[in-house]
Amino acid sequence: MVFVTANHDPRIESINVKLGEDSVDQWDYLNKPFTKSEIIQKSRNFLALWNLKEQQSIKDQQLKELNNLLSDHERKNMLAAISRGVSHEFGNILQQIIGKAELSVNKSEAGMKEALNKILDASQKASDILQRFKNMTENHQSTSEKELVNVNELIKGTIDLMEHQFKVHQVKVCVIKNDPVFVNADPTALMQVFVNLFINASHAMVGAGQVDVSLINKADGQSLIVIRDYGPGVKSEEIEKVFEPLYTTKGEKGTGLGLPICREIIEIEHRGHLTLKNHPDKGLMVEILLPTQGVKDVAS
Amino acid sequence: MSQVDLLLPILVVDDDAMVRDIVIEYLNSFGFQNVIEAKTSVEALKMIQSHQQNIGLVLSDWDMPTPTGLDLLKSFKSNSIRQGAKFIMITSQKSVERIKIAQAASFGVDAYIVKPFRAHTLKEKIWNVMGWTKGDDNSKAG
Repeated sequence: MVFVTANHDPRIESINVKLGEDSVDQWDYLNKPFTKSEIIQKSRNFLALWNLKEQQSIKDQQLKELNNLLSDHERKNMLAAISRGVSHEFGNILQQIIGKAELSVNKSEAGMKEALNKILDASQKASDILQRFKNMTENHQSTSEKELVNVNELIKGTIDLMEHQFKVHQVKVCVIKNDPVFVNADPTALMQVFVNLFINASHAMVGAGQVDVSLINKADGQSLIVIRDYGPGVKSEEIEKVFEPLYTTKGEKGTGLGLPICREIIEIEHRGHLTLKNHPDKGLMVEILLPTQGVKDVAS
Repeated sequence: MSQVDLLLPILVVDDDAMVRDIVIEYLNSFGFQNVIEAKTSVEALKMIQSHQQNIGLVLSDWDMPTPTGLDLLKSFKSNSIRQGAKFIMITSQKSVERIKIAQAASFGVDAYIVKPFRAHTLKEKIWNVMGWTKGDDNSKAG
């Protein structure tokens, strides 16, 4: 809308007060007398602005959709990485079961008994892996259901599940501090964070490496989880950038969504904090702070 | 088709001890008397490159820390002392590893076998790549 006004009195401020701040970009004014070309000029300006805004909003919408699609893709990528490891382990375990059974058929009773025990061990291992895998994938992307979670067990389960990845990347995982840590959390989401951080840590190191995990029960009612690698760390000017969606330091290997998702899960879904620090000696430390939950009730 | 050679030196490479033991036990049950093993791919690479080590057939796991099964295959097939020797790759999944299998094929893998496999499958693959006539052996299983 363009107001046509005869005097200079109704100034921008007074019109603004009348129409409200929100509509500031929806009106303009023309002082009488005005020429034809002035009207055309004003109209053109308005149309251009309007088109620009329309385009912007379409772009925003597209970007949002793309982001959703990509974070879904990232979750699927993570799942695919775990699946490959699980599949490899299952191949080996089934090979043990089939091989032991087949080879012991013609053996003595003692030989068969030994084989049966090995088969039972292998079956148990398969069942454990399957359980952990199910824990990770079930309720996937559903509304986060929070429950009392023993982070020590969750971390151990994640490390076991990723055994194959660690082996392939020649990464040794050391739990250097293991206070009993209980938090109120969505275990699936939390596990996703750990998987992501472990994958990042493995990728950060060329050749053999080590990842240190510390679980610390702080006196101030917070739990601190630290995952440290021995890679080159992150340049100080990049340390906040890595949380920006689509920013990646890993070239084609990265989607630039791992850390933003981790931060979203920790800070928005769990009201905690996720920060990165370079270790004074070597490597990157990811620190996760979460409110401790009912330790005294459960830890006994 | 040639005669079955139970003295064929076979190198078994798998960093999973249980699986390696089973493959070796299978080979023994077929009657092979010259089975050698490598506990890691690093050890295997040394054996493959060593002129002292006689190898007629390699059975190698794919998924190992570097050098991977593919690295072993490349080294094996490009080594003039290994001319005529065969290489069978053991993988854990077929569908997801199609690209890998294609890669292996381009480096001259003689056969691949998907875990888990039964004795008769392993035997068939070996007999096939060695060009042996089926059924003219004296193995105990298979």
